[in-house]
Amino acid sequence: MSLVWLIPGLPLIGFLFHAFLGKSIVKSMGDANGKKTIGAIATGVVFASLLISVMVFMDLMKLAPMDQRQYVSLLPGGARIPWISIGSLHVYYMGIIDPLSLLMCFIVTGVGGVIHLYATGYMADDKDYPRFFTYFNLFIFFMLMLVLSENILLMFVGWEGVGLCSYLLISFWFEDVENSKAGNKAFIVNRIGDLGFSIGVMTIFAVFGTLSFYTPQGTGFLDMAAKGITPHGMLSVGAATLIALLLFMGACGKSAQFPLYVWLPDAMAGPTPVSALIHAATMVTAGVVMITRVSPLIVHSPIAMMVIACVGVFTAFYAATIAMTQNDIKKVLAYSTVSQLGYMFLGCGVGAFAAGMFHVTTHAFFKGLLFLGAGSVIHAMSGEQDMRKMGGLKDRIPVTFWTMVCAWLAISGIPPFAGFWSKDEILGSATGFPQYGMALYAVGMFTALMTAFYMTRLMMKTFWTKPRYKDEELGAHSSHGSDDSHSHDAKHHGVHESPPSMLISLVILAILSVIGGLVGIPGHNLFDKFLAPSVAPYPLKDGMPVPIGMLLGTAFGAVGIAVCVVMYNRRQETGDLLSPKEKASNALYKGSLNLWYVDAAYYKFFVTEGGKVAEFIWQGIDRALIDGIVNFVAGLLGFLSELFRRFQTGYIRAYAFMMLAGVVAVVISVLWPFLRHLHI
Amino acid sequence: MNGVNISEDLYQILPLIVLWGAACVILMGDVILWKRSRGITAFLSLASCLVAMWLVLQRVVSGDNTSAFHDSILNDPLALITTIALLVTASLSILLAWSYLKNRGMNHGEYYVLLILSVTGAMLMASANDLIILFIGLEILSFSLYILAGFSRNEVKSQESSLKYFLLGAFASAFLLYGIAMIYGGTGSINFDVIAKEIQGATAPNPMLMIGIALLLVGLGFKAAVIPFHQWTPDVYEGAPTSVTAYMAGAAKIGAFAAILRVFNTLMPFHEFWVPAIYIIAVLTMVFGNLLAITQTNVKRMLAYSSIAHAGYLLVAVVSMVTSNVTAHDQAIEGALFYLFAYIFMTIGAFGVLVYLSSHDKDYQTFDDIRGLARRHPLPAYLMMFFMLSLGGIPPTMGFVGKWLIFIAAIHSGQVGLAIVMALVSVAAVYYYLKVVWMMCFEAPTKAPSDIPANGFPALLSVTFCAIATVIFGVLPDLMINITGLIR
Amino acid sequence: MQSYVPFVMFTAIGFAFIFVTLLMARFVRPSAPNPNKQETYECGPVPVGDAWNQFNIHYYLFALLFVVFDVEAAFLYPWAMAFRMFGLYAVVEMIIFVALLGVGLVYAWRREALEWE
Repeated sequence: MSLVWLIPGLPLIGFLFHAFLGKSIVKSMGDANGKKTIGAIATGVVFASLLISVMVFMDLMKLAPMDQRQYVSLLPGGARIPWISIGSLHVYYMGIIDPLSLLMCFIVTGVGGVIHLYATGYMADDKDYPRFFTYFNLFIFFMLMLVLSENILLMFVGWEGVGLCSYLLISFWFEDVENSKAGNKAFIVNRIGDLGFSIGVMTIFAVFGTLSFYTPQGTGFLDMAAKGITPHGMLSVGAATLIALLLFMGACGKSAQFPLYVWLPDAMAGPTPVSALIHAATMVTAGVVMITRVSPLIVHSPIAMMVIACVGVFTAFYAATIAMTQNDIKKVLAYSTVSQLGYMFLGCGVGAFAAGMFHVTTHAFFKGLLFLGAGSVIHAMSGEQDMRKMGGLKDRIPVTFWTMVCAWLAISGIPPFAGFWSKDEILGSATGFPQYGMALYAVGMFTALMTAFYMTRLMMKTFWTKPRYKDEELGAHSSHGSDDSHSHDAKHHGVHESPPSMLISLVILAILSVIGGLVGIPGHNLFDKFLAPSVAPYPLKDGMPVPIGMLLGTAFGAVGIAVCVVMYNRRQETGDLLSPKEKASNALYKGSLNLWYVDAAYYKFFVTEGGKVAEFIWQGIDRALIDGIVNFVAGLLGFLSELFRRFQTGYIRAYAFMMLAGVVAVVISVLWPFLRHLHI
Repeated sequence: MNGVNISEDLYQILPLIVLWGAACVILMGDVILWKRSRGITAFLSLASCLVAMWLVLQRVVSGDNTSAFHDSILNDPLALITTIALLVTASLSILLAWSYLKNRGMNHGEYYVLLILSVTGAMLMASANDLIILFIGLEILSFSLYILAGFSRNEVKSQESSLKYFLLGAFASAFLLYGIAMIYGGTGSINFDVIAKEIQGATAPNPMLMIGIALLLVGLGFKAAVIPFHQWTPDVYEGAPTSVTAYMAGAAKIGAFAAILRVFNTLMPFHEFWVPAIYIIAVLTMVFGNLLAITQTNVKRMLAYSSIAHAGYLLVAVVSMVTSNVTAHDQAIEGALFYLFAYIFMTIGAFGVLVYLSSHDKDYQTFDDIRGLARRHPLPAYLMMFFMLSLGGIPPTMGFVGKWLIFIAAIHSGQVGLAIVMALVSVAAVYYYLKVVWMMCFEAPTKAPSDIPANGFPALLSVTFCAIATVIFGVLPDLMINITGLIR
Repeated sequence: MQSYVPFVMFTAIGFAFIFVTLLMARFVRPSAPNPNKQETYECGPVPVGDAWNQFNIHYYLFALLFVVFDVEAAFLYPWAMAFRMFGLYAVVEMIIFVALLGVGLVYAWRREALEWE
């Protein structure tokens, strides 16, 4: 336990190391060796954190479930120095070690470490290699702070920190203005959510008078919420609803839920390891982690839970409809991520927080793998991301293919792959939700069918249909600014398998995608039991019997796959279901392809029209009125300053005279009350 | 002297004895033993300051404080904390002086000796529980500073500043002495404890005492550079060698405010007489200090006005002491002490950057000198930027926390009007601090770049220390508040 | 009133001393008239002239040192009258005081303040 501070500490050290020494190492050790060193250190610190997490886990498991919440300082030597201490607000740089935070430590450092390893290969030819790992290590640090923190304010620091890293990494190749714009979009959209989060934090302080989740004395706000009290009496449903919805607003931004999901697909402008680590496996699940962390508070508000469940399931469905028609391999995965995040919130919303976290875990495996696989495909295609120009890659890059198959089956919900168990648990819990549980289930199930369909479409277009490219053209045509750095390296021509460092990562995640779900088999659910001390219990009524649910889930997945395979087998040559003519006339297709015009509407309404309002405020109010006043005051001050500086003549006699006048004034002022006293 | 435990008395002033002894020994050594190597002089001076600081800290830890010499010296927490501040100031200034004196051709050992002597004067002011001791301390401090201000013997400006400072200082001392006489006439004592008792028992205020208080305020106000006793400040700060200015700005202000806090804390029962005066002086000082700083084109002069303005903020704390609310009273003193520390770190830091940059052919002080500094010498420019932000009271720096503490104290003791004035002028102040930043970062250099002297490491060390302190205590103010809170 | 008798006597003798000595000098001294002797005495320099003339800085140095030791003597006198009452403590204290002045003298000497170039 005394080593806990090293879990976020090591990546921080890594960050500082790369930030200050990275460039000079590359310079002094030569390009290849320098990059190797940096990659090794960056990956090493993350795996070291994983190792410490495992050690801490061993320690924690020796304790009874009652005691599985330990309070530890995140400073070396267990120092307890307050970070903020103002009035009754005391915030310490402390962490909580409990199953939830440890689980997230495992995901962040484990999957994160694997993706670091992958990135050492993927980014090997990038000139900004040290900068990449600087951000990457910093991200791990902030993410660990987010999950470990003892209070919601420190969590917010981590929350904003990962947001910052996300922004920096999306626009990593900032020479291309589109990437910078994508980074800005992510940052700005997240601000809306963060506004909700920060107001939520303030509301928590107003209602509970503390920001700590739990304290050893039982005075944390979740301690109180679990008992349904506040320092001023009972916890009202209204207060709980307000806080829950505000926090959920934050979660919507970070976890890309409707209507704040628009930044995530654009975020794919970043390097693929970034998409895998930040925009699939870890950061975007922060909202789910946060909601799960405050679950004792959430369960007090049926309205909030309903809202979370509905937003979740709608997002799942909605994003799936868009994923059906996208042509960019990473865009498909991005919308699929949005959709899967919707499932997680559905789980939280129906009170199955553990199930939501289970899906977070399995999703980290298979979606991380899908992105890394996609990265490997893009690598193989020398930077091409458009699936219309792929096909037939099955035999050309076999390792990538077979690992992708594992991930594909996992996300499609085919037993015994990882995604099946978690999705099944969420949907099963939904049937037990008292309000409209069956309706939520039905939408979720239909979405599962669509998921299986569009993922199979991806696999068909990429691996199975006939090739739609010529080897010799690869690498030549894509040099004009496709999204990946590999477009710039002309070394590889033609389709080629990725280097070992990338393949190892793929294999590790593939294994996890296959067996990772076995910890949560219904009836023998180790995962829920492990997580129980961290989440609020929520009584669900008996829903659909488990075997029937599993059967239905498998069937829907299988149907989705089968339909897709059959349809695409008929069009092996083109790899396209619809002919150009059909595409032009089919409204559904056009709507889905154009993201249901939501992004365009946002742009029109907020950027164009909002820009006009901002223009007026800028020119009319700010420049004319406010600046006018400010400039007037400034001018006045300057004038007065000029006026009064004339007293500073430089002559001692003048100074002495001024002093004398002061003396007279002070003496009179001191004697004044005395004189008044005399008269009375 | 019979019946008095001499060794106990001497123990109480041990830090002073150490410094006095060191000053004599160093002076003799400098003229007899190591005639040319000023390094030894500087090193021994620094060492003696550190030894004294160690002794004081030990006393803080042990809490072993009694009065000495018939209650004329009192080492209470207020005295100890201000003494620490003074010794920090002295140590930082010694580091600053090392290369500067060499480069500017005034490398004389007397500099360090005078610096140590002046710090003992200020320490005596801080521990004085007796008006005569207070006066002696003030004079020891002042005389050393008069000489130090004129230390650059070949520069007319330095000579002028020394003379101005001396003449006006003598003028102010006369008032102070006259005030002491009046107080003695009014109460029959020069000892604060006795005066306090006298005041407690008094049924009607005594006009002679009141006039005495007024004149005392004038004398101390002159040292603290408050309006209208401030006019020497810009001229002297500008003319004196920069390393002296840095030291003078710190030490004189600490000594003066230590005395002001103690004197007016003693005179608390008669607050209705002196509060209006200090109230008005505080407002004038804050407003005009900041106002006049705006049009300056010389960094040293600008900082002189800024130091006047900071004295105004400290006076707000003095006024805020007057309250029936014990917590608010303590908060005000704590705030003032915290602010003194913040003030020395950022002021010495800011002057220190100028010191660090000055070489034998260039004395950095005007805005033209620092134009485009960030491009020529990024490190000192960024340090300077940092001190400017702190002086302007922008978080997360110590300057912000200090201002905030005083602000809170003022509100708690009901001085909302002062708090508002303070907040408003702070906004105006940001302008001229940021102007420096603007000059350094956004303007093109107008002159051929000059090199930083190679021997500037001690100065850089000192400046860096200031910067680190400004951040650490800005981010973790509790570390400092725990120390200043000892007064409770 | 009795106590003022010595004071009156002291004053009378003081005044008498001035006149008696001057009178005696008038009879005893040789007569050698010289215009310089008619000038007002100001320690050597010419007493009449522009008020803005410069003095040699060494005057001040010597004067300062002189004043220091003059005051020291004034300080020593009451001490000498009373040191029996305080014993060793007072002796040590006075030694420190004299030593401090000694430091000043040594300093002035080593810095060649006593040389008249």
